[in-house]
Amino acid sequence: MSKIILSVSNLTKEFEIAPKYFWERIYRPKKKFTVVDNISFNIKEGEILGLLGPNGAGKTTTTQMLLGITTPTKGEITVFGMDFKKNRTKILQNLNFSSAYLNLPWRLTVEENLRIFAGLYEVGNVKKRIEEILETFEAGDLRKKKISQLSAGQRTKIMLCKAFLNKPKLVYLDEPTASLDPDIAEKMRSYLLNLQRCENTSVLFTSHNMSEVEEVCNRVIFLNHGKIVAEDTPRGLARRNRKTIVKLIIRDGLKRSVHVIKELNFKYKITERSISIETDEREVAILLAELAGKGVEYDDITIDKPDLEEFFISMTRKAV
Amino acid sequence: MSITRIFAMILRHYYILVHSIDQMTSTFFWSFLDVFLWGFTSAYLRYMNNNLVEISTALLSGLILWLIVNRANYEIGIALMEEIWNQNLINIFSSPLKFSEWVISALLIGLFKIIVAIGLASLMAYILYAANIFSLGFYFIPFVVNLILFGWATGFVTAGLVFRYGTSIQALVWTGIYILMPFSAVYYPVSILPPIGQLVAKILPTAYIFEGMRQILYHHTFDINNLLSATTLNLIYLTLGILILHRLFNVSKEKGLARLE
Repeated sequence: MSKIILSVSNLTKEFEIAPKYFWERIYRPKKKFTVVDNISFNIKEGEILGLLGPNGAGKTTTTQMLLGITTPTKGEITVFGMDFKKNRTKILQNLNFSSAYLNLPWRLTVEENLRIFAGLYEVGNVKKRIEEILETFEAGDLRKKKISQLSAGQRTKIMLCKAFLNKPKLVYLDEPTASLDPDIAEKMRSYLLNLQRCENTSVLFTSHNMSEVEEVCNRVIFLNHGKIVAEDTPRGLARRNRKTIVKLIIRDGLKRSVHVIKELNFKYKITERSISIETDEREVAILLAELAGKGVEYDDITIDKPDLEEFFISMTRKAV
Repeated sequence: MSITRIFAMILRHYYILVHSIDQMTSTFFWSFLDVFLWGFTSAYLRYMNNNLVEISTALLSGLILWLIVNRANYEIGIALMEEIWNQNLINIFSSPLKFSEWVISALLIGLFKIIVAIGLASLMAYILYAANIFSLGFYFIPFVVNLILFGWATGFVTAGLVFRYGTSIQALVWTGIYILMPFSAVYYPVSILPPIGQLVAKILPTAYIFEGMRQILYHHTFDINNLLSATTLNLIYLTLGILILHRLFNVSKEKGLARLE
């Protein structure tokens, strides 16, 4: 069984609402609002866990608590089997993060920035490692450029270089491919999957690109109003929303088709020669085999699988 | 405590210094300008009355010594402001860097800047106006150490307040210390101050240092009590400063460091 790398239990964050005028502090009771509400989850070694949710769901606050830059109101964080509060420095040595919404000192060059972070993470053989990581993300030509001279996509690349500089065992990636060209984004995903396979690196992954989440994440937790409202594999979550719809344009055997569908107990809808069948993704093959067995011929077939994006939208709408 | 991490932060400050004209300006330009301004004022006083030689040296010495307090205070605050302005606070504090290591790196780079800026300002005062701050002799060292300690103590409080309240009070970093300047009796004796001002001066280590400085320059005597009072107060303020900074940093983390960016 895989080791648990990150374990979060009953994590809660409450923020105080500041009164409009400071003197109101004297006579008004303190108002609080809960941003993260008693969440528990874990990440296994070599697992990529997606953290999804609409804006304001509590994803960023959760990540910030995991990084130690926001103190939790309640709850425990254990990383690599150690209590985060007591072993912060030791843990952070093997952890890193990247966010598309953060910057690096803009007056410094890429190389200078990476050299500083190499020092902070006590990376050995700094020169060689910087060369390696810049090459991995095809950013070698940016080495001498100042951060202020880079495009948004190039900055994201350099943030990723920083995130993988210390060969972390656990990485938090917040929108890692935002502003990246599709080919670089694809390379980043391959790099991530390769790291997972070869180095057993664990990842906490946040993205608004649902197809990306489906591609890279082994498991997803969905946050809303600070609570975990769903947890499953990306396919599992997508399937929760609706079934797969198989649409056939029948050339011959409409009646036989209806008979097969009724036997299999699927819902269906007929419009002229077109028939739409609602089924489980796993039963599509059975359906098609049965239709072929009854000699049904069709001109066209469309299989509309549910995806994570639909699940995301439906969950967000429910919340609204 | 890791020397590598402290060195990485010193490197970070060094890179900022060499890449940033405003950092260079704030480190050297204002010190030079002050020396020019007060140098000419002193020269004028000397021209008006030959007996005012000590006064002009006292003015310039007071100015240069005050620059030490000012720089020591400013460098801690500006080290923090640089991280906030560059949206780098989260990168820094989510790394293995300890808070104490961040403080030490800010102090060391600050110390380096003080030595360079004050060294050059003193040299300029000597060449242009023949005012030798080193005429304070051996006592120059404990005076400077005390002034740096007080600057750090106030710098810790200012940085703590910025951690707590963010950039809305950032002006405190470069102006806050001036609230204490009139009571520090930089250019005049404490006895000139009104009674309430004299009471405030009693709790300021700087006032004892500047009194001691004038005593050496005018009377060529050294009062150990001034130095002892300043050192005792400094130890108290430094301890308080560290505690306040640490507490306010923790309060800031409770509210979320990311809100500062």
